[in-house]
Amino acid sequence: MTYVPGGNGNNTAVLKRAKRQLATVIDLNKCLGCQTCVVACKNIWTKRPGTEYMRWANVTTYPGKGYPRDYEKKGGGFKDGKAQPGKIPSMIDAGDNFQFNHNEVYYEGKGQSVKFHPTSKVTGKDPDWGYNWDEDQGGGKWPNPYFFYFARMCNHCSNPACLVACPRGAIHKRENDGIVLVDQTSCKGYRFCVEACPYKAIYFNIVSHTSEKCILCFPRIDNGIANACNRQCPGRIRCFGYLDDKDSHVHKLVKKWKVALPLHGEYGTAPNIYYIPPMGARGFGQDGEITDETRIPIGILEGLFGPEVKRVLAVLKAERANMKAGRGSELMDLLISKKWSDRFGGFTNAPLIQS
Amino acid sequence: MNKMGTNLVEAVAAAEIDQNRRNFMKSSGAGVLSLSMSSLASGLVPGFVSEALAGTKPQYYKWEDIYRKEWKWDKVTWGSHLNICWPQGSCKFYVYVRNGIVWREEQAAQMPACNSDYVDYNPLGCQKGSAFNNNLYGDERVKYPLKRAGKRGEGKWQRTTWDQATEEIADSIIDSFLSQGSDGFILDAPHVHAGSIAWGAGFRMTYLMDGVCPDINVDIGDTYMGAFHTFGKMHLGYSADNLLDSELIFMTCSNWSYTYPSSYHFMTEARYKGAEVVVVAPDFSPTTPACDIHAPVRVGTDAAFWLGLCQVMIEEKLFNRQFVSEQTDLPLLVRMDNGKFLSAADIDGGNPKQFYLFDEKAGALVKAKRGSLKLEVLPALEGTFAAKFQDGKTVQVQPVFQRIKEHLKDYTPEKASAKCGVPASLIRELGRKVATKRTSSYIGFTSAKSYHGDLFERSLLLAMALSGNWGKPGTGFYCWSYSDDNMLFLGVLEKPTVQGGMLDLHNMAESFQKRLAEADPDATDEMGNIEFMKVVTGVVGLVPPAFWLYHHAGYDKLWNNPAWTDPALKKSFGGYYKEAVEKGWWTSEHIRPAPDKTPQVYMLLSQNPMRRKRSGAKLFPEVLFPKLKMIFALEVRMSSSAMYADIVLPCAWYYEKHEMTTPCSGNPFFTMVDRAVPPPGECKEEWASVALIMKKIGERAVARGLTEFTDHYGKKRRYDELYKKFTMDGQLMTNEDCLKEMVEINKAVGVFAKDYTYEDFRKDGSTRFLSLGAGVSAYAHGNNIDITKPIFPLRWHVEDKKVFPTHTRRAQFYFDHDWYIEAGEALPTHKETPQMGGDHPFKVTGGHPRVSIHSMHLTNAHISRLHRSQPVVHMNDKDAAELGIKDSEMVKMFNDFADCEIMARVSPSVQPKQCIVYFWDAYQYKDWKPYDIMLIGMPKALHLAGGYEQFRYYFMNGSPAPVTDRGVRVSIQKLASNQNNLAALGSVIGG
Repeated sequence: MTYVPGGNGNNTAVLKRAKRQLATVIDLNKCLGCQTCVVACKNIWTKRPGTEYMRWANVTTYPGKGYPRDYEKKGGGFKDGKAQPGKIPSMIDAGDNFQFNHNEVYYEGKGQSVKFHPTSKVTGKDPDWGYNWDEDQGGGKWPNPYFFYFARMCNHCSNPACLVACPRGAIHKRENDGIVLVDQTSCKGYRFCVEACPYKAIYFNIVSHTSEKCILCFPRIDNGIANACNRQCPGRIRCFGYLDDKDSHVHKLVKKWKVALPLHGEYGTAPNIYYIPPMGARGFGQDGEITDETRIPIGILEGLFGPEVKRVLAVLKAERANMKAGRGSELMDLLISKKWSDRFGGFTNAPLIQS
Repeated sequence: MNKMGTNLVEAVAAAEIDQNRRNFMKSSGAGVLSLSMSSLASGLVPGFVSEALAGTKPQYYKWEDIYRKEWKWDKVTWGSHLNICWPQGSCKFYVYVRNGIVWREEQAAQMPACNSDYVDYNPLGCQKGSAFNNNLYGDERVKYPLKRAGKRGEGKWQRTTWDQATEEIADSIIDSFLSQGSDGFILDAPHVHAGSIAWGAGFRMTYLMDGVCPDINVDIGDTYMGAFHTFGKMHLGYSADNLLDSELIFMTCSNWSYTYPSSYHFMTEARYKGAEVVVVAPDFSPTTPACDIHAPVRVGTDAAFWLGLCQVMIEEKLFNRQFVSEQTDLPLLVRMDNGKFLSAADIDGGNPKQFYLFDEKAGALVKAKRGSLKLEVLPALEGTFAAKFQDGKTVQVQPVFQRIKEHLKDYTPEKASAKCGVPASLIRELGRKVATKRTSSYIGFTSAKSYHGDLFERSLLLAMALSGNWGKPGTGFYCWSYSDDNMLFLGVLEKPTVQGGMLDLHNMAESFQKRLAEADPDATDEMGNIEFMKVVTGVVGLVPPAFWLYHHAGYDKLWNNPAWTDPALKKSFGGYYKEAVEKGWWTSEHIRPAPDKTPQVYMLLSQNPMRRKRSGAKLFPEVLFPKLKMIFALEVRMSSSAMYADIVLPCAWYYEKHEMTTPCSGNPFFTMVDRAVPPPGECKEEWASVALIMKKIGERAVARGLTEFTDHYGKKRRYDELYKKFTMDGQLMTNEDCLKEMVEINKAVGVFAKDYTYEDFRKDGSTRFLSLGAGVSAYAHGNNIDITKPIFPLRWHVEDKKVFPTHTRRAQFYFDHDWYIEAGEALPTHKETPQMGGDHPFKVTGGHPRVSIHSMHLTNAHISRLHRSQPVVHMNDKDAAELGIKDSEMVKMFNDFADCEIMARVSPSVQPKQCIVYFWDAYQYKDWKPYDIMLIGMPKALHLAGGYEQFRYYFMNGSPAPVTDRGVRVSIQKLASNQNNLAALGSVIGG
């Protein structure tokens, strides 16, 4: 199928290129899968009616089905410069919105004959899938199992497929920071954007009948406060700031040290969330004895972050050795960031300024 | 908060926001996700294409207000989540109030680094804390006093009033005093997560009423008995940033990814700084992906792993001779004829606790100093020597080290590997590394919950002794030092601190130290303080928890089952218990309620034994509850245990009362919790609730013509004084009164600066503690707190050569106690876990889940949507395949005692024949039969041993923990009727 006729690809009135771009670097060597970014986001943005099932910020275990379930198999992105259609994740793929039976257990006099349990909002039955269902399962075989936690959100792409696919011109990039937004008054809920987004980071609000997605907490950003998922991360896995700000950690990690890589760059959307690939624990050999090699198959990482992974892991290893030997390393200092606030590219105001 | 100019910003009226929200949703209903790009492409395009191409620039900035209006609030206050994760918490949060309810919270992220060379603590706060507002308004919240209207556990309730409810409770307490004396009342191990003040309220209540309060720390299995017996104390912690000074970090018996999210980054950052991180765990645990090495010990075999490292260090002569000679009992001489330490009683009829070294240079026996660790001779570590006794006979003696060396012949890397499953190459590599690297460990509470966990710890500590790894920066074993004077002493304070209340207590403690010093000039202040704490423990009614469970809750039958007993023991638990009582090691001070009494009133204070008590969900309803005339719960939420209560009293939760966290060394900050909103419904602060009960007891006693009751010491106490004393003559009426008093207590003991005030605390929201107080914990830690540096323990012993409060006055690895010799545990050794639960193929492990502290968050809808939200057992993929079990299927777990139904979660990360179940509340299981009922909680009989300096009990320390569950045997089988196979239903919306 070709690009939807009348999509705003030719609509010059819609801003598609930003002057500056905000970016996030996520360090997969530090992510502990705690889901704080998820609740931080949800508490502000997706408790409203119609949004409850969405996790604009999400963390899953990799290998695993990802979020929304099997998003990598659902199409979208660009091919030959054209935005591609795809499958719209179901509400269950997007994690469902489990309902619970507190009152039945506590107050209906049923005693031990009922148990407290979740019910799928979609089917009304016992769930067989939900958000983070495959947590901590991972891959490999004993004694070399492996997994890592994978935090994701909207990539606020430099070349967003969602924007191009929207026939309403309801999606735009903000000129001064590149945040991609869905205009809630223009959106008619056609969900071309959901199909076109290869990361499936756009969701359909079933109450307002509009598409919604991560807004990069722009009401915070506009007040100099880092976005909630980045600022609230206990693992200090995230850096944030303008990609062209030479003083920012994101610039240094992405542009200078080149150790932060985009996820599925081949989708062609030029995403702005970058990842430090995981070094992994050392594996055991055929004879069962310890080896010096990581247990994460390199092909797995290359499948996510491309062929640069090997080089990046070599840089991390060399710089870590420099630290161990007492020679110091700018890169390791950046990844450690002794001072937490240094991570946020100047977006360091306390979250006490309202819109 | 006004200082920051952020409080009370633009107020947004409730109606306005709600209206915005209503505008936001244009319509409602589901099933509308059936549109797709391809369906639109043909039919619907023309209509909107023209619109889209019309070239009208959308009014972006106007519509964005939809989201901007969400970023508003009425006020911000300080908050935290009170001690719920004690060593890991004290996180400072902004709490945002909008329209009279708590809308959200966010880490304040104002925690400084100790100095600029170190990483700071920010943002400090996890997913539970960042979503806590949802708990306040969840359906699990209890808001009104409830009285049982059906059978216990049936879920039939009627609303009652505080007045009626507390009157009934008061009458039941008076009845219990009349029929059973004060042993009739049990406040079951209140958890500190109710709050520092709430905890103090519980202690003050049992202190004044002479009630019984089973020790929470022992009851939950948080006593490191191996460390306690090695050092004579266990609360020797470090701060999380201490890891940055380590070159090698062992994470063992723990899972920081789940249990220490707030400071997990110190581990990953230490790794970037050059440290190697090793996870010692049966499974490739959720912490392991961020580490360098996984040492996959089989369940219960950790001791063999550590002893393998020790063997490498000794075999390859890599150990630190000076350190072990000075700090430990390794040079002390042991008689080869009976395994006892050679003592002055043998040599010249002198002190039986005066032990000997062999001076290599002089070729003679010398007395080991008891008052200092300073070495004056170089003692022999190896060899066999002759000791001439006063009776003329000659006995061969050997240093403990020599015995260890011989013992370790069974732990060469290859032999240790056969025992524990960790490859020999890795044992060898790590043995060499620990010998040369500055090493810290983090021992989690799985150790304290393993039957032979004390042997894990003693073996690990031996490796740290041989490598000289304690008493300096970057070393240490866990984060568990605390300054809790504010809580404990709030329980026993008779008058306000400013009127000398704390001075009285201080003088009391000093008198113990003086008396001890007179009796033994070599004794330390630490030892005197332990004696003082033993007395405080007794008067507060704190008791080792194993005994009441044994006598009153049916555990005697479980624990005396010979098939589940360590085969090396000649007697059952009960046999050892009887002998220990006969020898006077345990007395009526510890065994409460007395065996001939019957518990009558059972109080729960934010405590959930139906979840937590091993096998409790079976034994409590069957054996204990029928004896009880009254069960009442002070609770914030409807726990499984509250479901069994006769009366549930609703309490204020975090952000709804004035409180403060009481930190451990891990995150060394006290944080202030403000009353952001009033509690909902008829919820009350715990302090006021207990005060009301005390008042009612006085009133009911008058009405019933009673004036006095008899305490367990046989002394008379007056009913009408309870309330007066509890409130300190009306001076401690509210949480805020108590909080002010706690600030004063902390000032008096040096935890806060002398000039610090309650107003300062309210303004700052947090303060780093300056010391660990004046109690046993300060001594246990064995180091001063320097707020400009990371915290680490035991420096006083290494630098100041202060002796340890043990039998040998040294860190002790050899226990010449008869029971230990007989059981083969005189030296650190590996023993297989007893076959608790019967002959079943799987060994269970478990612990804290990721998204709940205990059962607190398990029934919160918001946080439950982060996971499967129902009990799961994690099992190995190959094991599952062999049993025909697929992921997400329901399975039956069972052993010789009990069974449960649970969902399987299948993963290669679980070690074969291991199965993991984290915490779930009892009523989340079919028939409310939780996995925990299979666990038995067999206490280690050897921990009944006494008559030996460090084999003792005082608050939070010592005595057999009724909680050992790691390695309990179970079988797993596929459930015939699998109710979760809904694959056919698929998803009905979208795609």
